[in-house]
Amino acid sequence: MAQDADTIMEYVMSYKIIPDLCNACGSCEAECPNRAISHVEKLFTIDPNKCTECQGTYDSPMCAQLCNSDACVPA
Amino acid sequence: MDKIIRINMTELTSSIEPVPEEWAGLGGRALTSTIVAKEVPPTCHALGSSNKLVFAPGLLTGTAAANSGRLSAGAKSPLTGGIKECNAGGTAARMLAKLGIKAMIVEGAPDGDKWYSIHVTKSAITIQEESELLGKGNYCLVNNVQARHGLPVGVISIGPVGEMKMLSANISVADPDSRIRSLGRGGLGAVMGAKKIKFISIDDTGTPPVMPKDTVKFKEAARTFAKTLLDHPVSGQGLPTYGTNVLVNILNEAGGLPTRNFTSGQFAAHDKISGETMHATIVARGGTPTHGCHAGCQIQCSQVYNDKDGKYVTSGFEYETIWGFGANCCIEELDDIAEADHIMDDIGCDSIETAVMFGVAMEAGILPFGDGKGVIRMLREDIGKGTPLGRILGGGAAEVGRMYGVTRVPVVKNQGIPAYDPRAVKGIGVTYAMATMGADHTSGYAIATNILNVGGHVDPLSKAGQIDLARNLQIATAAIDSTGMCLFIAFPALDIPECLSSLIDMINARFGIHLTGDDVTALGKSVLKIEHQFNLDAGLSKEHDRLPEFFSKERIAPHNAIWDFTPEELDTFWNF
Repeated sequence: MAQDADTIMEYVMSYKIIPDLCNACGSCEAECPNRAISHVEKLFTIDPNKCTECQGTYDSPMCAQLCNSDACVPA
Repeated sequence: MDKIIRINMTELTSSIEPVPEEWAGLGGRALTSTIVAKEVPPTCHALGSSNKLVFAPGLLTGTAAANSGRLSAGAKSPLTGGIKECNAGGTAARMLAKLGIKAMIVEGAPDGDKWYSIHVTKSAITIQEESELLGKGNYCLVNNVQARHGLPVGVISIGPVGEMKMLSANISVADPDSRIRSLGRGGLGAVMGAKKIKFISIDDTGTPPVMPKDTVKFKEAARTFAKTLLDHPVSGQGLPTYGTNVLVNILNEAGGLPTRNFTSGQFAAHDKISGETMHATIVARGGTPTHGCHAGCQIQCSQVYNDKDGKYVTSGFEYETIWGFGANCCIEELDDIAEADHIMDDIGCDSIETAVMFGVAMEAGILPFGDGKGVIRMLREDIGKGTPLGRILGGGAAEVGRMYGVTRVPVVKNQGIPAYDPRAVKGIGVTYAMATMGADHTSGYAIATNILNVGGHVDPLSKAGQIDLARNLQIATAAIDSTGMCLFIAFPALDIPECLSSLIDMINARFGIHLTGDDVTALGKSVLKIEHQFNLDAGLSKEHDRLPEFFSKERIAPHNAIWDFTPEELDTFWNF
């Protein structure tokens, strides 16, 4: 039970970009409704404090829908 | 469903039209030039009600393709008297594409003295009288307009220079940080001012991204395309690190850095204004050395330049601006050039035309060479406020040359020659002479092959191969300008075969069509021919496809180079 609680505590409602997969095309940045994605040192990253997984805006996270290399995944 | 929006400023009405079949495969420059050629009388007054101002995103704008967010604007140019297309980044292009607006055609002009703004959303086009922001600069305007809507709406605007219809007036587009990008050349800001439009705002709320017809193929092609941009040394390393200003030292070394109003090819103080110095200064002051002009940019050649106190001065601090005020006007202080860049973005004038103009003005004795503070004062107090002297200076290099009897006036079709001396880099000279846009390096960037060894090498000092080079580059550029892509994708496109093939694959997947490389070349040729015919009909004959006389009379150090193409040789450019 305690372990479950910890898991819940650690869960952040956010997607992340796997650096090894990202090819820096920038498609995710352009369509993020929360402007949570930015270009940092040649790749793109998601600010977990801004990401809402597109809830209320799209049916599923738009970055993952658009990503050309399947680099956008749940954090 | 894609549509054409037509805004009539005489009647203050708007309408939505279906896309005619013959325009369906066009975007960006191909579309603006096609519409201008079809609907604008070539001999009309560019600032009169018969001219039309056309905005169009590119074929791939709004999709997940990297670097596809450029906005084209077209009209008859009041500066060149011919057709004009400019393109820039910013947020507006993507928003228009998402709204399904393939082109926005602004026509007519109001009779009275009132000014207007236009607001475009998913459900309405609103033309409103505007008074509060009249006379205001672009920085202030963008902040105000976005505050009114409580959203980072797209903004296309003019500054006071456009309101006063000066020939150097540009059109500004807000970037993702609410700062300024410019549709710079040819005085399109004066056309917008003549139509009494201070700004156009765009709200794309409620519109999804543009989805391709074949998502799987699109993603595969987009992945390949993005990799080629990263892999090429210019788009993947040089531009992201030093921005376009990496070119100061390169052109100085090549002896093609026009200095002191085009009287030498090298600038003794080149290191003080170089990309390397700029990069170090930006980093030391907490600025941003890599920055994109539009969301989805992979190349990130822009940057944010701060002052000594770490306060924002300008972004998108380009080589051509730094060359123009640096080497060409002999101003050695990068901070002075940065301040000038900020003012030009704010008052809304083209930083290339204005820099070339100041070189002529310095030669005329209006102010001394090297007088950075004088330039800043005249930009702010004369051009920005429209004093009689400011009106002359704001008319551009050719205007100032005529007024002051200067014979060394570097223009083609009245438009100032940018940052590469045509005697020492002859391929770009052919582009300047023959471009339908007037002197415009981006029409066919021969520097790539003459200097950077991209797409092979053609000796910059020899005549051999230059006309073919300039022709091929201009054809390719006309096609790229139609996709919504940043022109800098041309570097990998010239060297890595997969770049161009994946670009075509993306277009095919986007629309469910089957273009080949030959089709894209044919598109580029067709755009150039449409533009050339408009120019001929407007009275720009082959005698206007020439460089000024002084380039054939004055040799330039260090190579003792001279412009030596005959008119007959130049005219073979159009043999295609």
